[in-house]
Amino acid sequence: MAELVLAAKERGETGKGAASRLRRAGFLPAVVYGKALGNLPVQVETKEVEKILARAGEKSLIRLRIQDGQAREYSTLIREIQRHPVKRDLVHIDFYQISLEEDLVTEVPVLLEGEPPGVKAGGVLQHSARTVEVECRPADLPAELILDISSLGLGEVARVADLPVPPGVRVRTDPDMVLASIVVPRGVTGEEAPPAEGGPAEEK
Amino acid sequence: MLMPRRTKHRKEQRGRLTGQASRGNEITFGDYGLQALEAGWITSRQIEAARIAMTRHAKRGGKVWIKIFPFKPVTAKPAETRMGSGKGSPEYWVAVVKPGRVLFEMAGVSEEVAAEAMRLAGHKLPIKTRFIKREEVEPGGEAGET
Repeated sequence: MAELVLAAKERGETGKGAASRLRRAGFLPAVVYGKALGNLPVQVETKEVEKILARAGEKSLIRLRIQDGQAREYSTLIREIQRHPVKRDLVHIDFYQISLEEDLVTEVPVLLEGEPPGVKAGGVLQHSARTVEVECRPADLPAELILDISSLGLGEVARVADLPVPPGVRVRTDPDMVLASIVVPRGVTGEEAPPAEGGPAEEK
Repeated sequence: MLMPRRTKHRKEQRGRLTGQASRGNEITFGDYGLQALEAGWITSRQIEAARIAMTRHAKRGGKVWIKIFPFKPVTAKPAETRMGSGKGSPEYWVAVVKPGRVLFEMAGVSEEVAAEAMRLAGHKLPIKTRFIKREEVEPGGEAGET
């Protein structure tokens, strides 16, 4: 995964009033924390964060460059994003400082690929779990895991165990957890494609 | 219609409707949602009417989640009664909704069908609403828009 760079400044003032002033000036109040660091209130440019989120999503490795005082750099992951409930504007962001030499545990989004025959036969695709917990070195961290569902028939499910995982990445989520399923709606008998119990090509 | 199975108290005070929805303001189950833009009380009848409008438009396809529940009893006095002699009797149930709250979610249908179903459902409600989509990362790293 490509590492992105984000410039930050230490934030002297904290609290509601100071944070509102920052937001009006085009900055976003944020905090960095981690084992080696404790916690450090910072500010980042809102536009830059929006750009990073649009380009790489929420689960990307970000190199946070703190410019004032002694210049420092931290490898971080986004831990939490707070948005306004209605306007959806960014309100606050948490960066979690990680060590590049140690394994980290984080959630990675699961994306579905392919058009399952079960949907063509009248079933409804349900994407149950949208993330899985993985453990890996930061350099190996995938931006997303892609699950091929182009063989799922009516009533069949795809589980965490079916997920192709790149080398160096261990999935910590229960392998039996269902990621996607084709639900048979009422009224669809499954004659076009028999359900998993009776079907010849039964998937686990 | 939706109503609690049992409650601790039969009658409640009305309360204030301030602020935004701090929870339940994101899509969690489905792909599309209907989000409240105003605060208000949504009655169990309105929830049911909106649900029927959505499922009818989707013609049994897809799946609908109702993400609000009418926990609050509303009392009323009988017609032509003089004021006084205590609080009226519980008449109906409402869900207290603040701006930002996701009221319904939908999955398993196309975006056009979901948008039209949500538009019809929104007309059954006493507040302004908007149609929203799940914010999701597309393969290759581009994020979807709201």
